Amino acid sequence: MEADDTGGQRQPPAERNILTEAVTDKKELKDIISAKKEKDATKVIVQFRAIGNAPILKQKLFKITASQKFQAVNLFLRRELNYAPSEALFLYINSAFAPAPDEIISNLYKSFGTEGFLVVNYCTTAAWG
Amino acid sequence: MSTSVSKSVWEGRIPLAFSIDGSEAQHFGAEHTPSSIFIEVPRTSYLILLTEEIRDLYRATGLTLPDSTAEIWFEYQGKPLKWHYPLGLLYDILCISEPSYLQMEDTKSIPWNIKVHFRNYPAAHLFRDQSAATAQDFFMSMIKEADFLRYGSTKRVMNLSKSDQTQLWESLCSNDFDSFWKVNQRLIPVDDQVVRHIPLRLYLPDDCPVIQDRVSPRTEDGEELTMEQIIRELLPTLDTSKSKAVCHGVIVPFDTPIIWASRNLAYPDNFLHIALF
Repeated sequence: MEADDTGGQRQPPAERNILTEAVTDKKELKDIISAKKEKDATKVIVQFRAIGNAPILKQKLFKITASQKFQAVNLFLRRELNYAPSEALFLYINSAFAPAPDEIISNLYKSFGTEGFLVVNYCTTAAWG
Repeated sequence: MSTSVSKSVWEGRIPLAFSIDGSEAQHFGAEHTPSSIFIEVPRTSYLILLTEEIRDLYRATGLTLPDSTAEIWFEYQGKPLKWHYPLGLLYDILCISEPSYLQMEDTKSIPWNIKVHFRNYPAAHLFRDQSAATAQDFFMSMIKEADFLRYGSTKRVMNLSKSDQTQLWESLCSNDFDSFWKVNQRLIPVDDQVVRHIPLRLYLPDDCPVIQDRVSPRTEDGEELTMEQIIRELLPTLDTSKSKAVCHGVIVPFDTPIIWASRNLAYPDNFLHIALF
């Protein structure tokens, strides 16, 4: 690919410059990234709502660390319900969709939280596709 | 909507060069390490849609591989690649944004060199349940999230027939632009219809957690916001004069109106995925 068989007429591709252009001082960006990566102790209040035959929890509101991923909510609920990892359990936000396990709880709360809660519906059979 | 832009987005492709470690090839009975395998794929596609083809191509080079694709995974520079992210997004994050951020010499990696593994699935980094069916579920969930952000409910998606919902995914798999847009146009706002929020995710380099929030496309006075104004709102301390936003391998000008960007540059999952550095 690099061989120059056109008698030296070939110029280096110009579009490279745009993408490789050095971002000279990235201090702000570095600070933002390290702040985002820091373990955030902020809590989100999750409200669990059972659907269908799913067992109802005595306590429905729980504080969960905001910087965790959504799979932590799944694990937490399984512990509360005494469910083995093999047992079927489906989690939804706002009776609408099932987020991917790697979505961050604080993002879900900021995007879909209502009245101070993140509403998580759970059931033992798939509910909202 | 500008059909030519969304069509260009749809037609964007990445050449991939797959390779395998000698020890792994030996483990699966190959006498020699196979040379690289080259495939060109749509940017909107997913790695999970390639696993069967990759298995067959490596079988043809002499590896004895199981039928199940459950153990197949991909790696770039030591990082396991998420099979539920569009390939174009992975490329923008790992081959454009990150090397630029780290000021590495060659930021554009064409073809993109990806290492294939057929064992030792990194379950700590990638979801175990990798299958086309799960990928389809994740994709539909993203579309519902986008619907919810725009209109406050998932009514538009739920009003689609089961076969129309399936058509969204299948037209993505078969890279059929017309078939996809026949259904997707019913999900996006028409002309001047105001949406509540823009489905947007920002990706910063260095494994930074993804940024997603409620993003209004207009000010309270009804003025349309630009990409730069939205980014400043989400990251107030970022100096945008030193930053770049990349989508579909292209630097998006910061003065791009966010509504235009969302309509024309969103991935098939209806989200605007921006790599920022």
